[in-house]
Amino acid sequence: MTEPMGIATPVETIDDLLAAESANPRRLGRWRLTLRRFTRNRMALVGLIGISILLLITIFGPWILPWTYSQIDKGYFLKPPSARHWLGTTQAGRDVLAMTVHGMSRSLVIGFVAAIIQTTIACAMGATAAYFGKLTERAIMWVIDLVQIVPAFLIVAVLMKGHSTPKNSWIMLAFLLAIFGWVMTARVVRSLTMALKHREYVLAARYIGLPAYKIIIRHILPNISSLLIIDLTLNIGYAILGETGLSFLGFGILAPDTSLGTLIAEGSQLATSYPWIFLAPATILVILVMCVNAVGDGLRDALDPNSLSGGRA
Amino acid sequence: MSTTPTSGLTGGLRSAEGGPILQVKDLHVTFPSEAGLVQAVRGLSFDLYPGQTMALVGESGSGKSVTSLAVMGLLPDSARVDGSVRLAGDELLGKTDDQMSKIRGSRIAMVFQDPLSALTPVYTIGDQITEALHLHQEMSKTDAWKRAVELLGLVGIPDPAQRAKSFPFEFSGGMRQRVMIAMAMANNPDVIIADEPTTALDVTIQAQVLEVLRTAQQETGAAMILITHDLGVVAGNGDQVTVMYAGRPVEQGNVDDIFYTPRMPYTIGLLGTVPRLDQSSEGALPVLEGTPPSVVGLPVGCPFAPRCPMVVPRCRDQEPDLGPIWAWPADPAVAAEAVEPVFAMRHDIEHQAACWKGEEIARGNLTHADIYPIPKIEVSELAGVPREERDLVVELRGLRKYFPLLKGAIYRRQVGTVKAVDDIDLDIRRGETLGLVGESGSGKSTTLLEILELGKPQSGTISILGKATASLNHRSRREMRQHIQVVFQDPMAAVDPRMPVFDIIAEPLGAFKWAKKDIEKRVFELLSLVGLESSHADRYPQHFSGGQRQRIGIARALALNPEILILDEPVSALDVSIQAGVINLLADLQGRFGLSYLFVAHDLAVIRHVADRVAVMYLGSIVEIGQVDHVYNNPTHPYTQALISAIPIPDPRVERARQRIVLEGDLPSPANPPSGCKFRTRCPAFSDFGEAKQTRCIDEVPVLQSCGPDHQMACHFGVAQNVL
Repeated sequence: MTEPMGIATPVETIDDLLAAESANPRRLGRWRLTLRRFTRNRMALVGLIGISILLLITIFGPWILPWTYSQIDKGYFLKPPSARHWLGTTQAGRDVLAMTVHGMSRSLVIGFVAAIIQTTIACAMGATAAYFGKLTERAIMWVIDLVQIVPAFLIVAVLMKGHSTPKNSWIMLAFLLAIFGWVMTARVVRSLTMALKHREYVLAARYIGLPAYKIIIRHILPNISSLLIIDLTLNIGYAILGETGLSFLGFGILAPDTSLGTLIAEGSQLATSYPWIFLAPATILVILVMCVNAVGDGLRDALDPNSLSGGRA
Repeated sequence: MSTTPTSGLTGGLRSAEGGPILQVKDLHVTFPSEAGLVQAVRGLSFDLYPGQTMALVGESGSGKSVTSLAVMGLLPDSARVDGSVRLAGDELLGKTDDQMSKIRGSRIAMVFQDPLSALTPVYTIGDQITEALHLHQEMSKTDAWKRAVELLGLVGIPDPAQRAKSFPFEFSGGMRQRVMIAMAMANNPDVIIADEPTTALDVTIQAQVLEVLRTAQQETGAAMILITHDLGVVAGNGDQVTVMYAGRPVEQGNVDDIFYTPRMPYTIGLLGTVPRLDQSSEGALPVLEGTPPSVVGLPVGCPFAPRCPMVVPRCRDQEPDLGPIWAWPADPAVAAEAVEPVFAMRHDIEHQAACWKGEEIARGNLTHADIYPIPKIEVSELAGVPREERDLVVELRGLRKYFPLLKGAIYRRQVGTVKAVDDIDLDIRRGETLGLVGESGSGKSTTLLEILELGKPQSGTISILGKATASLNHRSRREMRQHIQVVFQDPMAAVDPRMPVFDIIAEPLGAFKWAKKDIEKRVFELLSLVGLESSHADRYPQHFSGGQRQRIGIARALALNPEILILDEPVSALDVSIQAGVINLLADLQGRFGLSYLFVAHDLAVIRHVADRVAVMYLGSIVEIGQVDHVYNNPTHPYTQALISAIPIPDPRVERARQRIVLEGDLPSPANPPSGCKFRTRCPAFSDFGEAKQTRCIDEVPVLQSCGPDHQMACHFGVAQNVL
């Protein structure tokens, strides 16, 4: 409205006023609102940019970089950073930069796959337990308790040692991390579902005659989606840390495949005299996990209406 | 005239001695939000005198609670507060939190709406009251404890010395609210702010708590700010009234002025749309169209203009300030005698309204009948058919629902039984509305859920459209769901916030495998049926107001053309001005489609308006049932009498003259109900009975007996009594 209100035509009807009001975009969409609150959080924004850059590097790096991660440059063993090898080489004469980029992509893929699988299991188990209650709930809770008390690390290590091959080790690792990682999320999903299950729209859906699985998928899960997104993000960070830890100890990714964990393991033995082999993957790991967590925290604050990201008057 | 600066009630209250204790001048409160600045309060002024009660009335979002928080200095730092709040001449705005802490609790005390969360669960009641005393007074421990016990006695807690050692969870909601009031009184405050003090409570408990609040005020001589949306409570408890709309005071005056000669169309509409407990009413309620505006980015002009039937162009350009009213005498008989209108006018400085048409309204002494049109609603063709000749659509015989009371974490054993619904009989005939009333815990919701489950009841029978639900199999039960649908109470929770309106309404149709094309047609048909626009179909529930959301819920319930609608408190969560529209819609739909309603509500005034018959429940049993006017005019069971008498009527003169039957105590636990007549422990008549009569009440369970045409009650000695 460019005209001052004073000289607006006085014969405006209520409908005109209402139309003017609805044309005025006062209400924001839910996701746009979240985005706005998210971008107000400086750390989260830095994290998001960091992850994006790292993702771009893992996707396009192999094409751009002069070396591949498995290539051996004979005569260049344990060389410090130079024009030929930007981050130096390893004992076997492999390019540290190429290996770090490849390792990062492995770690990222494992992180994402594990997080997605475990969140899916958690949703299915948690929501089913809470929605049906009674025996179903007891059985699922029993499984959750069981998974929580078995020494996950040991089992993963044993299984990886006995059954993985260099080719499938990363897939197996992702699955194993997921199988032992879903329980906490499942507990949270269960408690949230218990709260939602008595909501009137869930009751209404039941009295319409909608089957249970549809009610869970259509009415319950979308309403806890903000938690699921946050959990998914944070789980990526945990899965990456889990993967690097196991790989570092030799129970994870098998050579010649490379992940950040195996690289750090390789570099740490020579860290005092040849620090570049260790520094590059370790730095990337720290940055990666910090970025993921910053995004997770930012999302949590942005999706939580009670947080202080609402600005000031 | 209209440009007179807002001066509040300054100098107006000749009855009060001395100066005002609390002066609020031109208070403005602004909050940040994603959509822009929220102007929660805009220019509120009032003076409060010791011993007086100022009622702040308004719908949700009108800024009444924010006002109280601003006075208490409890707003978050992100809010901007301008204007002036003076307590006995001392400016409160701008004080630091530390300075305010000394005033809060000692000179200004507050009673909150939710007594559940206002007390710390890990300390005893006595400890919490003594803490309040120690914070502001030098007192020995034993003295403080003594005073705490004394205060508990004052607010009517039985056996206060013992009860002071109890924890909050050992008290009922009403008792906790009494404790809150005791704490508020503890330091003899100058001002008590009561923010919706009875909204979360049952009507019988509300009557008790309001009485205690009055005691507290008399005892301390404090001034009170009573924040409420219930006009009945205002009529009975307010001395002055400020009506707020969209953060703005729109009318201010003595309680009689506001109720008998309202001068702002909003106030007039508000008073006109409330169904009355004391009047039998047929047909539609007058309706305030539209919804209160969002207080973000308000357009210029009067915020009420879009809803106002008397709107003139000026209203949209310029917002009127609160100004004095040139009033005709209130009584139309007196007005008729006035020969020359000009000389009959008097300048009433106490009564102010913010309206460009205030003068015209005053001149014509316009009432809501003159301003607000009464919408037309369909009348069912069934109306002419006598009740006996209509089909029975819902029939409950001896319905019982007991819950086992379990104890123990690992090995669970049954230690008792909660008789939530205990042998009730009900029937609903085609096209009629049965109202079901009672306090929370009386078993109304359980009854309703039992019907909706369409399962086999523990005992007794439920027949829907002549079919016993126990005989239904999985398939036929699903089929039956088409005929019986439900509308829930809470418009925020009743529709899935993550689904667009179209999908919400289409859901039942999809569940019954309608063709896509038919679904689309039906959804738009339903939208227009419930008064929504087809453009609303792709919006999400959060874009709608409470009333509109309730309409979405009604559209969903109607989708499959049901014959019976179960309405679980469908209007109780709505603002007063929105209620009438939804009530009219329900009446209209009933007329059009011959629907039968089971209408559960705790608001007896609404039930009187909508229901044909009413059933009163107490601890799982029906104590009185019958044609609605019979029951309201001649309540015979003492519980019904108490219930009706506890409802405040929005009419100050009636309220002042009314004799209230205030029930003692709370609802007994349904796990351990009294023997014989369940009501005898709270029955006002029981204590006056001789021993022979009392023995009968204790030993013999009363059964429903006829006490008039279509009127039954379950009391051995019930005598009809008009309590309106």
